[in-house]
Amino acid sequence: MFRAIHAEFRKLFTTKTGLFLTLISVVLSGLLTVLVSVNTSKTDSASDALQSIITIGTNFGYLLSAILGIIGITGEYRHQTVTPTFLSVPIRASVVLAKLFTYLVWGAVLGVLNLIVGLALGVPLLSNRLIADVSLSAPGVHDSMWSAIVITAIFGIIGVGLGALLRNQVAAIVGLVLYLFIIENILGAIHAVQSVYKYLPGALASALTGSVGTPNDIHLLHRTPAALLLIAYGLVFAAVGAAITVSRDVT
Amino acid sequence: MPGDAGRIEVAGLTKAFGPVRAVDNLSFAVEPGSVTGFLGPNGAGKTTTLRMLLGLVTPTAGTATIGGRRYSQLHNPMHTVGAVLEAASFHPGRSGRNHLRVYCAAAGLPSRRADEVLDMVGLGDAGRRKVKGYSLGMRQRLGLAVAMLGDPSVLILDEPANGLDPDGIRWLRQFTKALAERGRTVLVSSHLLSEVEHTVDRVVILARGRLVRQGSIAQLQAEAGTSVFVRTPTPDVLGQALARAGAYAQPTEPGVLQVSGMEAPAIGHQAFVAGVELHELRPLQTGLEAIFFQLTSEAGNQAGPPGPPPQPGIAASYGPQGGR
Repeated sequence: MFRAIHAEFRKLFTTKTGLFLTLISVVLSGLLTVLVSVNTSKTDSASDALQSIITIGTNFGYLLSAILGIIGITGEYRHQTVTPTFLSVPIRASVVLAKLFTYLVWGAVLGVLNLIVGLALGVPLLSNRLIADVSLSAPGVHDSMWSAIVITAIFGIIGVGLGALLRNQVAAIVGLVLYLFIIENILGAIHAVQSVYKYLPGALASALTGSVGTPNDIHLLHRTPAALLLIAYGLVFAAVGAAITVSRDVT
Repeated sequence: MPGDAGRIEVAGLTKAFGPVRAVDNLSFAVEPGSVTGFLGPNGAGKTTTLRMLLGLVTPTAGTATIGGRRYSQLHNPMHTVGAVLEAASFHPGRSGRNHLRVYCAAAGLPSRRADEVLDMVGLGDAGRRKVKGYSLGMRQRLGLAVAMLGDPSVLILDEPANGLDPDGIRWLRQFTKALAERGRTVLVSSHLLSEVEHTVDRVVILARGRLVRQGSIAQLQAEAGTSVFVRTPTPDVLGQALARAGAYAQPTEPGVLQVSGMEAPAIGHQAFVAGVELHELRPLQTGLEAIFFQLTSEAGNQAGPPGPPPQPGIAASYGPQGGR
């Protein structure tokens, strides 16, 4: 198992894709932090402003983390490296577990990098702008930080599961983006299904980071149930992805 | 016994894709220390069989084992088996060396092994370049390098000559021969017998998913015998003369006999004795290939071997009494 994980990290670090997407996430997080900071009203509370920064960075962070997970598994099918991968680790469940672990860890790393960049830029900018004192110990900020890391980590797993399910890289990435940015928002706007919306992955991510940027008058779950449900989603995607990968012929 | 670790045994192996039986109740064995050709026309089920042997495709029925174990039960698969399946199994943006290092990690091998196998296949200088800049022949060599990482006792090559230039093919022949001499098992698939004829000791021939022949190349050669192409204005006279002398003459087109069971000088002598005029007399090298086509097409109930179909106006064949 350790060997399989070692191999997965080597795969991640020996092409440009993984590092490039991580860089995009960090740069976006920095840019959005600057945008949000300079558009913050002077009278806002430090807690709300900091949570906005964390949320906006995380929204792109979890998308990119999921895309990394998708590429991590669909790339094997796309470039047919799945053959030598399964030849070197014939217990396929080990390959999938190694990928899940790798992209869970890398998603968490990506979340941490996003936070470091976001807060390193955001705290001084907001300190200049806000009347209130800006401090990371403001209410809810620590929770937001932890949540941001959990979200980017879990979406790495969701990406691996989704990639295993679809195998087609483009279909998986386009499907994910369409779902998170369009379909889920439409569902949130339709009155009849609003009661379901809060249980969907994107809404859970919103619930975890703080409710900034979600449609009004929708009640999101509290942090703890949202975190548990998101982890459950991750496990389901992981299990489905693993089951399919183990049983499917590689031709 | 170290020898047994490299024995491949396939028993009752079957793979059905829907109603199609790509591999049908196939049984054969490959012994260590030999190069075995795994032959059959395209679509005969060779690749599917190899993929079942390697645990990539799940058999519908039967077993395929290496040293008595299924692939997934091997403790150190890369130390036991190396396989080169398709030409393009690489991420184009990764260097050849890093590609190898990934599988070093997976097999628990030190990274310097990557450099060793790069040198072994003659890619030492190209290792740090990205695979997208490699030629087809270089990719084939890189695939072979992956297979050799664990210094396996069994090497499996699926259509290895595809994409190799003549130099590469010669190099590969020497490589596999040297491995077999060191007691390794080598299984090489091909749809052309002529491609592996000079490299393999044994053959396993497949057609339409079924085994049609298993044996040594020498056996097959003896069976094929030699065949001689004869052009003469009086094929009837010569055919009868040859039949009396114990040869077997097959008219293939007007004025042409294909003779087996007799060498060219003897045929020339028979013609001289019978007073038959000869226009052409040359040994044919296609004996083995003809047997191969015959074996693989009979199994498929397809049209006969390539060669002219029987034409009206050509006499039946001439042979010794009671046939061959």
